[in-house]
Amino acid sequence: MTGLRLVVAVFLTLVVQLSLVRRVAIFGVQPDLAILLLVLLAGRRGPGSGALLGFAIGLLQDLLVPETLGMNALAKSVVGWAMGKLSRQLAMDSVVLYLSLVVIAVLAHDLIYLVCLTRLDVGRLVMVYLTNSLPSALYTGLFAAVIGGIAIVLQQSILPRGGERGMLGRG
Amino acid sequence: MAERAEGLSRVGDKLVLAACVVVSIWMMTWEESARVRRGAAWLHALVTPIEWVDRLVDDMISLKRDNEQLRAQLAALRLDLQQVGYERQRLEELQRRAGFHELNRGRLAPAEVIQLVVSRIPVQAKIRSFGEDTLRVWQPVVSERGLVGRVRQVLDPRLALVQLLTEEDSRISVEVVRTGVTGLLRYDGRRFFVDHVPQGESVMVGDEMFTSGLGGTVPRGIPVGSVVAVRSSPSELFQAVELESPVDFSALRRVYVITRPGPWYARNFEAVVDTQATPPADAADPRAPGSNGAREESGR
Repeated sequence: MTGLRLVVAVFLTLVVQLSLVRRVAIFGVQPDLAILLLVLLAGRRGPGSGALLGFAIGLLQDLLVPETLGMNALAKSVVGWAMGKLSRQLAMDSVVLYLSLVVIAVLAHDLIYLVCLTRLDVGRLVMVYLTNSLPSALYTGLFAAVIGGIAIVLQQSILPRGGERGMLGRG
Repeated sequence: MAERAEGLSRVGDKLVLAACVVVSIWMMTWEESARVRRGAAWLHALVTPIEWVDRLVDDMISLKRDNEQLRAQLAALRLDLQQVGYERQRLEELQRRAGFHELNRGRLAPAEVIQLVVSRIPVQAKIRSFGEDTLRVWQPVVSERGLVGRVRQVLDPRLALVQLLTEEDSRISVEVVRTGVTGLLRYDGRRFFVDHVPQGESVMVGDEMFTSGLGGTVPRGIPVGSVVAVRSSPSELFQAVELESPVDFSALRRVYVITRPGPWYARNFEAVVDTQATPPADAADPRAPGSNGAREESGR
């Protein structure tokens, strides 16, 4: 993915997160597309790039709510780095493993973010974590499964034909 | 060699993470500076059109839903109206066969308030009628909200003084719509009361009150107000019923004189209101002397 494509992908993800995602909210719980994108990109590019991407995505989100400046950037940097690291150490060919990583990434991100936001107010942290972060993590995992399923179906229905054409063209 | 490069890469990754973490924590210590505000404004400028489109879509969806609901309500109301019209015809037919007088449609003469006599609040109004009908003493005067008062003195066929309900001498017979209990409406200078409501009669806060038609001058069924307080004491003969009028007596501009009582319903309101005559030129000009809104303070 080139730099421009990366910027477009990040921007589109944020726009969709701000606008369309709330239409699929269930009892106010929304999937976290920014984390989904971060896990995907960090898995491909490694921990250093994951941290930088996380920092950039988080900073953009922080700028939308300047009161939380730095919190999203910190949480996403750590998550991006960790996901890049894990993807190097684990074989990422299992769908279940990938979805589990998405859920863990959302949980880890929210934990760091809430620690910063609540300034270690444990009661508030636990309540928000249980009522919001946990359902959001599960929903993000489910959302990733659905999106992944659609992507696989599309890939199987479009790419083989494209491949044949390509081979014919070369032949 | 490869191992060394990999080791350097690992160190580099950790350094990047450390830098990101340090910068993030450093940013958390920032006060909201002008730079941050500029950055936020820049990002908001990018996002705002998208949010605007998103809201527009939301509005369109809700508009469509509301429109469908309103269409359904309109259809139901049309059906109800047809049913009411049918029932009304039947009622009139039955009344006619039973020997009741043939029903006339009521008639309202529009009038403009050209002067208000104010005590604490307006108590008397001078009106100029635009209708064809001649004004007569004791004809009721109403607004869109309810009863306003009665014509007390006719100055010429189109000009009259109206005794408002807020005048302390005014007495109008009223009834509770829910139970039919009657009483006499009066104003004590601050609030409306309904007198002569016997103890034990059912009157509740929120009850609507209409004119009863018992006085003979005001037809039955004109809204007067709703009950706001009921005080009942065993030692008293009557209940103290306090009323709130829907009419804003301080802002009376247009009123209607009931020149012919009767059922108000008609196929359209124009059939009821006498709009044959048009307002005179001076009445149409609000700046004309003695015209709309001129007030006269009374020494009362």
